[in-house]
Amino acid sequence: MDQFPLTRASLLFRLRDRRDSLAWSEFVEVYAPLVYQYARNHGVQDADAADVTQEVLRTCSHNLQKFQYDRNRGKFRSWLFTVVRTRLSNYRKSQYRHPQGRGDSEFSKHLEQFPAPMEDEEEQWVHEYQMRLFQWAATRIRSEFRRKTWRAFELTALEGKAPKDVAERLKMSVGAVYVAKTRVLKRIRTCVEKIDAESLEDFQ
Amino acid sequence: MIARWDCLEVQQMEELMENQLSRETERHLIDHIDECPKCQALMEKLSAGCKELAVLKQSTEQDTGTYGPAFFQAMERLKGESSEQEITVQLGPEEKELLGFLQESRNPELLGRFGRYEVFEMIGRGGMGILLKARDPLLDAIVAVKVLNPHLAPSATARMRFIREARAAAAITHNNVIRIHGVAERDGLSYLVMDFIPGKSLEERILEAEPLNLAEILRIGMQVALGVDAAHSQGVIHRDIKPGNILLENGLDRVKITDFGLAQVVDEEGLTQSGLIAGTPGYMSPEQAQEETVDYRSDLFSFGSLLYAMCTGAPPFRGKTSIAVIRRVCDEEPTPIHNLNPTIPDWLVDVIARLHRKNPDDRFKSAGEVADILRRHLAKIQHPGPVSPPGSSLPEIGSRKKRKRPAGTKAERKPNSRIRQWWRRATLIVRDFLNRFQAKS
Ligand SMILES: Nc1ncnc2c1ncn2[C@@H]1O[C@H](COP(=O)(O)OP(=O)(O)OP(=O)(O)O)[C@@H](O)[C@H]1O
Ligand SMILES: [Mg+2]
Repeated sequence: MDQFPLTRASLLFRLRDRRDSLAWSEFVEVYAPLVYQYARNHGVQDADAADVTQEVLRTCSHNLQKFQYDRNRGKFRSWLFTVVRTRLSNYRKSQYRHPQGRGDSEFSKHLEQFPAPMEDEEEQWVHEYQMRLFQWAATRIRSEFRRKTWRAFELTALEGKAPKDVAERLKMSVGAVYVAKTRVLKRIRTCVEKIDAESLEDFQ
Repeated sequence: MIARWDCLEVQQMEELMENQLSRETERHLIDHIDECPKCQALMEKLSAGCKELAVLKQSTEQDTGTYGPAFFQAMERLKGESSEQEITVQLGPEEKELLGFLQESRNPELLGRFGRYEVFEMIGRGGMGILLKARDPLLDAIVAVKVLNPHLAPSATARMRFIREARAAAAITHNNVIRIHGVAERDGLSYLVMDFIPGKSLEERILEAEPLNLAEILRIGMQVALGVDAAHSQGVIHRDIKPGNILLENGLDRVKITDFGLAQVVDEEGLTQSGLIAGTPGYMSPEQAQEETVDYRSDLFSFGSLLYAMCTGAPPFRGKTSIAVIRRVCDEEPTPIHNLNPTIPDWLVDVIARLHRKNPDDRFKSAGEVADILRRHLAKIQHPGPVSPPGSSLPEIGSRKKRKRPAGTKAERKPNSRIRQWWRRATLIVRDFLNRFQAKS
């Protein structure tokens, strides 16, 4: 078995190729806001949260290229969570002691010794992680649709309006409203899938 | 009369969601859903009630958080780190001249700047100009910029035509048609900005050692047909369907058609003046080669040649000179596909033959019709086993209503004067000569 059973199209797979600069900037766009917000929510200020974000993403880049992220050990988002927690706790410690640089191999060792997170802490992370993926995907694909299609999707899928009312309001046929809704949803799904297919498994 | 449509199967529903149906089929299905509570409920079931919808809803309601200045700096820095190992671009003297219009940039990773666009590299050089890969800092998006060869459009009218065509193409919104961001002029150069598609062109794919298998041919063919159909129903004719204009997106099974309508921008004077053209008329329709009526059915012929090339690895009409190719396009039948690739099924050979009819009236009525056929056969190879009898969910090919074309697409007649024909042939001879001359030197 391939120890890295990701589809060729997936972002994590593409990241292994250093020349695929597009994959990397996509990765940064998806994950940097997530990590940054997580740090901010845990009481870290702008400048420090930005530092933590940079460290976390560099660790990702380093490990993904060297295939050190091994799927058998769990989902990518759990692995990422461990990295985030470790970096955050390092940051807290460094506020007491002198800041000191750590080599990456040392860092991996450190990761393994780290105590397991509380369950609800990880749950919260997973939730934020999923929300970020969908939020990113929705922003990303929005321009692919006509304004009316998007509006029909918003009104039915997000605001829970009845397709019949939406059809009347937007002067579309009911059938077209149904199609608009499912089409946008489907597209968001494929977009999320490209970034992290594992996260769609939750919704099967 | 409106045909009564049976309820949708899940497969069809998925195809509808993924935009894989011709406009006509789509319209029928939507009409059906409109009146069928059962199908509405099925669609509801396919989309609503799942957990992801809740997450999506929360994510759009949730306030996106506050981002301080340090965050944006960190983003920029991180994004820059990917290109660490990219080699700084070295330009040969010829490229230097070609790209002389770029402004310099302090960033050594860049070739230069073109207006607000930061140019990374030159992706290609086609018949009409050059193609640049660039970043649009406003949208923070990687884009492809096509800069029209100024020799091709020396006159203001030609440039106007470029802009008009590009605008028409920009109005097509379809999964299989490249998205155009805009078209403009800068320092007397016309240019067009579109999505950058990482991947390769169908031309490159065909040249690879491994031939395309039937599923690939059908999947690509179907998407091309759908994109072309969408354009036709908006009154846009492509005029240059060929493998180089079909982009295969990396890792996705998705096809994007580029260069809609641009071929007609180039005028005869431009052609002879530039001598740059290396294009072959291998994918032209007979009416195009003879400068007769050019309407949407010309694209159907070229599409036939595209399918032929996917099946056999080479375009159907070949010859040492452009004139020889044109003669074959107009008067001869291509080598039978089975001589070159016996694995191609008969029905596909027949489809291609019908697209290749010299008389446009004898071809299919629309690209959508071909898309439907390809899709049906694709479903058969993907889900072997009992196939629903034809007609149970889709109408039979022959029984279709004639589709109404929007005004303006059909019979866009160009003056068919002998002089024009003669002129065209003469320019092609000059082109040939120039090509061979260039190849030698
Ligand atoms: N939007 C795009 N994104 C990425 N690559 C592209 C894009 N458009 C074109 N290409 C690539 O660049 C090459 C050159 O394209 P270009 O359209 O300039 O030339 P061509 O298609 O070979 O000839 P012609 O000018 O006759 O269309 C294409 O073969 C394709 O591989
Ligand atoms: Mg092209």
